Amino acid sequence: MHIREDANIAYFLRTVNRCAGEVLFCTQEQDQLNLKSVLSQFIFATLTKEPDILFGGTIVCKQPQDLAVLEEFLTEK
Amino acid sequence: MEEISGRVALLREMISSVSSIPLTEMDMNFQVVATNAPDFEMSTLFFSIDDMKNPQPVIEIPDLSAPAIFTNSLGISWLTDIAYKDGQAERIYLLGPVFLDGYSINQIETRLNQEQVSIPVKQHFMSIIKQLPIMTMSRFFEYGVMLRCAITGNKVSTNDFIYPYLKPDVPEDVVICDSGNSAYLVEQQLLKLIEEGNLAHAEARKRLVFSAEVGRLADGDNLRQAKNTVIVNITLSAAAAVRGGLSADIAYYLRSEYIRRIENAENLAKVTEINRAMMDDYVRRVHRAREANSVSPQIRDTCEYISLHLEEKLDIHLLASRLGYTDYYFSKRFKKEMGIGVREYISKKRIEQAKLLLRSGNDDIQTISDRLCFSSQSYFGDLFRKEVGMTPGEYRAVNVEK
Repeated sequence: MHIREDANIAYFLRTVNRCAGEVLFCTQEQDQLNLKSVLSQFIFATLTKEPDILFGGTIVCKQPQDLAVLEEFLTEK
Repeated sequence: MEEISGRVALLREMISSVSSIPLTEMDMNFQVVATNAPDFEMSTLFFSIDDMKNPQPVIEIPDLSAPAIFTNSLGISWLTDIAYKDGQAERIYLLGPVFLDGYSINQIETRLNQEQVSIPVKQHFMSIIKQLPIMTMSRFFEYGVMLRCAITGNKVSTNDFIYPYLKPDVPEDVVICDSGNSAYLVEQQLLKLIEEGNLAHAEARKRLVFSAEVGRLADGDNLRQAKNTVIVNITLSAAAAVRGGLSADIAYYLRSEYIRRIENAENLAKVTEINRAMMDDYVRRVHRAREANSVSPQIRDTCEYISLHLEEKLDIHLLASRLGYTDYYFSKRFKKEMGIGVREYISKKRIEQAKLLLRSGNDDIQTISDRLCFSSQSYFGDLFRKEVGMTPGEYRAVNVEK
């Protein structure tokens, strides 16, 4: 799953904090950010200036039920 | 409100002539009214991450009486203030983001190396982080004082600054002293208030403590710097309290206790809280000691001597001869002034010391009994039980349980 281009990143990150399991942001360059870590959240936030990386990366939920929590921010494209 | 906006705009311009720290004005829906932040969207995003969540807590404080300070776990700080009209909050002002020292940036870099992050992403992130201004805490707080003045026309002390993530019933001080000669004067005045046991100390402190730094006591580490500053303050305060009439053993026991608490403090706000509590504690104790002092300097001196020599043999003859008195005259005078006999007083002091050793040390009971010159462990035990209502072993067990 990818981040939607119209997603509110601040709201998305706050919602990630409500997820039961880990939520990872992975890129083709082998970045793997655990979005429950504060530092990773900051790194992720700065990627709004690098849309290719931000929207090209994938969101991986370790707990399948968290996908429903984040549904409104994610897209399969 | 236009008048306030105008004053803040002037302040923004003045600050920007010497620093790159942004000053933003927002309406109560967090829509930007005016800003000089080069990248306000990123600043807002940073502000919304982490333990701060969003600026909402600021507007939840009814009638914000002073600027509020936020520092997130990356060491990025903001100062916020609110302008009111007819009791209604109308504008939010945000000063920051800013690093209050370069150490935080180094720490971020170190932490970043432990993450699974590619070089381009690392470089991109650090380039944004390094764009944030760095300034001293004192300068930052001075801007906060100026901002409040621009909004309300009133002066505010940095002591009054609010740390919204602390318990609201614990007002905080700011751990700052002035630099150079004025630091010496402020320090001397504060210590004099402790020495006098002046209960108006807290009020006086607000007037006295201002700006700048006591000197660089820890390279780059803001929290360490604050801890070192307060530890120096604790040491000076303890000495002032002794000069003011507090017994040396109490003053130095408190010193150790407060230094221990400072070392365990996790953030600047806690350090400031402990600093304030420490100073208030010393003032109150000196005040009590002075009030109780209808005791002559000679007998007070004897009491201090006893306190400092509890682990040595003490007898009436030794104490009397220190003052040039006969044993009989000394005993009579001591009892008259203290309301208690010399031997009984020494025993009580030794029991107090034993309680301290039982609480905080690892010595066994026999060792404590020997250290405090009790003739036997059973005599020590009997006396302890009589004074405290439990045996030394029970006392230690209860203390450990706590």
